[in-house]
Amino acid sequence: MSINSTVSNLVNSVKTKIMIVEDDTLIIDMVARKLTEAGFETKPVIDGEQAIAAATLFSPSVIILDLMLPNKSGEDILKELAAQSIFANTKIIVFTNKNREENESHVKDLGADMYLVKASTDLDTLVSHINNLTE
Amino acid sequence: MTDKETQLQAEVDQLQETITGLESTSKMLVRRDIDLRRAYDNLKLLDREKTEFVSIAAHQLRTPVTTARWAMTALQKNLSASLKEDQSDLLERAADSVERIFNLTEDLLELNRIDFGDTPIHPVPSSAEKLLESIVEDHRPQFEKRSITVEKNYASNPKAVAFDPVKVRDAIDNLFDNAIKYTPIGGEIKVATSYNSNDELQIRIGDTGIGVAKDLEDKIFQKFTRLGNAEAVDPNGIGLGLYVAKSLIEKHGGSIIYTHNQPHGSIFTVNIPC
Amino acid sequence: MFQAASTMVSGENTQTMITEAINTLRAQLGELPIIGLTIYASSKYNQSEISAIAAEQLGPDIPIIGASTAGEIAQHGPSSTPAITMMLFASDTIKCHATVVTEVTGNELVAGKALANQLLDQTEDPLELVIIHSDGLTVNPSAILRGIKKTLPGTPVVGGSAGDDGHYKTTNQYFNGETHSSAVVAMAFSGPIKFSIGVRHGWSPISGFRTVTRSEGSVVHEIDHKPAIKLYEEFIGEEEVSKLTEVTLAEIALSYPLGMMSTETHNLLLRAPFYADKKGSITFGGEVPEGTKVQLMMGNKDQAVDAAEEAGISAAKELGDKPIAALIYSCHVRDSLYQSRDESKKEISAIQKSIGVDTPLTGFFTYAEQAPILGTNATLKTCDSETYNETIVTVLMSEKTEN
Repeated sequence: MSINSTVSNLVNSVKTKIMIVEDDTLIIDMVARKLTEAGFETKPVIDGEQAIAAATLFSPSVIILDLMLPNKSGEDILKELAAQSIFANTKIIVFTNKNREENESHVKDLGADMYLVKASTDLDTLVSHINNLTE
Repeated sequence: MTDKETQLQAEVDQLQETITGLESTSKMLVRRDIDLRRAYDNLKLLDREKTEFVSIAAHQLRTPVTTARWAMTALQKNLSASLKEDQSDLLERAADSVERIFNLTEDLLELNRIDFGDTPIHPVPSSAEKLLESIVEDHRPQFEKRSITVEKNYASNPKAVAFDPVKVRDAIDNLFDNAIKYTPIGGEIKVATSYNSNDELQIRIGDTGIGVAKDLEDKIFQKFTRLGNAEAVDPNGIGLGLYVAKSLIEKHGGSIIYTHNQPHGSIFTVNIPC
Repeated sequence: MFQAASTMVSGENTQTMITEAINTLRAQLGELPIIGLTIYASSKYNQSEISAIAAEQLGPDIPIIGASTAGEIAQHGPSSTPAITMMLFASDTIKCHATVVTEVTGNELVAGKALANQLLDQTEDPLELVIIHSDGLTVNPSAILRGIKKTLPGTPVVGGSAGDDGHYKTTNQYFNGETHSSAVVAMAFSGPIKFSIGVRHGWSPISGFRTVTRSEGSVVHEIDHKPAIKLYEEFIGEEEVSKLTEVTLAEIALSYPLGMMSTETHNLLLRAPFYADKKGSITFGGEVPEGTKVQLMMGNKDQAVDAAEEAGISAAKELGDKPIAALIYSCHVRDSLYQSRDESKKEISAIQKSIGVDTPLTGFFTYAEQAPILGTNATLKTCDSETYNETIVTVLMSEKTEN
């Protein structure tokens, strides 16, 4: 990730807030750790049902959202986020292992800004995408 | 009855017997036809089930592959300074293994999508020459490591041709990967484009490698086929690359043809209608 | 001069589609006088609009006939979506004459005679060729052919019964702006028209002859005094054959039609078993009179395509010239056998091998086909027209030149 954004993050003393919605504990752990290392303030959310409430409280700039969640699907969460104006400026990165071909356009129609396949994205790349979205 | 009538009756009787005999044969044929249809229907069902199973398995594999890849990247970055050579070597091999599993699961998922028509192509006017350039440059570290020279011979009047650049890139990548893999150290690869009189784009990838035995030429494009000499060079491939490449090109109404290179090696010609 | 232009369109707005299509065809034909239109449309479209819009475009003086189909055919093959296929004919020497007879069900013989008389009334010139389309569900085309023959012996009659995409509910026949059901429409050609007809099916007999001992129209009750279904059970087995009672035109029916020796023309016609009832009576796609000799037939997709190719070769050879127009009436059962329009296309392409892919072409998948059997030009005038199932009929047209 670029030096400039770390510096500007530190200088501004306001870290960009990223919320991660993901049910796999190992994945959420590794992503949270990487993002924290990169200078972001992170909030992990393991239960999809809590996502909207958590986002309301945490006010993230970016939400990293898995699609296959046990209690509430990523698509449903996207719909609920789209329905509320407080999330109008929140960037949403769908971060999933579901096939791009079948899902990307639908998910983007629901309001996602990016579609990334977990298995083919390394964490450095994730960080640079987040930076690009929050510039 | 007169002699003639007796004779006629005898011939009629014989004809009747022949007909009865032929009818028995027909019944056998029909039984076989019915059996074959049933077998075919069963096979189609099994094929669907197999595909679903592969799809589910490959998807499930994506999660641990994801975390393993991330872990490998992090380890290689964080430990590069502090590991001894043999430890570093081990780590590199572990990372390679994980990459291999990743490639395999992606291949399997792509295979399923191709077989079941879930890969629509999105043709746009594209440059085959630019595509080849990009593929060659991407692979430069690999072929230079093996001291393989790559000669380029692009058509003098290149045209923009409508094809799906992502899919065709996948296909050519497969062919180029194979060329590097199966060409010995110090060998030569030639890539060329041309436009023939049938209004087709032709992309040729030739190598001076191990080639394919004459009687096995049509097998190489089949799924999971690995020929003996290929296995000797790379025991870990699973024989999907050519099948996937061919399917992607065929979706464009095109074809991939194999011919022998002289004195040894392979030439793969990709035809895409303009 | 004699020219034809064909096209196929599909979409949402029939008004726009048909109007634009006719304008395009007219433009292709230039100054040559329009003599007639054939228009075949998917049952998905609003049926009353089809010929009404065409008639509006062409005016009251241009004869129009057509039918609803079980699939539309044009130069680039069969349609993969519901479509409307048309052919516009133009000539300064050849003429078309069209007519209709309605309420035909039960009166087919009389209707056939009336049809022929109505055509004869329209011109002094001899009628060279007649194309007919009758209701594929409610009318017996064999009886219509007999009626026509009484008034027009020696005039070849060719055509296809109207279909409705395999729903088996209602079919339509179009005539000059009108739409009918349970009717028969006809278009006759007079003048220096040259034509040839190719008819093939591709099925082969697998049994000796049996006799139909009890039947009514297209329902065969008994063969050799046993329930009709027994013949099928004997060869195919009870389990497979039971599907004939469950579904209309079961898969097994597609490959195993009955071949019947026509009592009138002593030629082999096919009859497709549409369904069987609990008593073992089988309803076929055409009449099977008592006393008819029948054989079980067997076939597959490849044989069917080969047969189409032969039909094309034979018709092209008989015509001798490069055809100006080609019409294809192919059975809905063949289309079902192929299972996908990509496969069905093979039989159209097989015919085009003999006539060129640039020949204007129209046609449709029918519920039955009518043609003179294996008609070579020498026999066309004497060989009677019959009704077929599972058969492909192609008509090639060109113009007679003074020699």
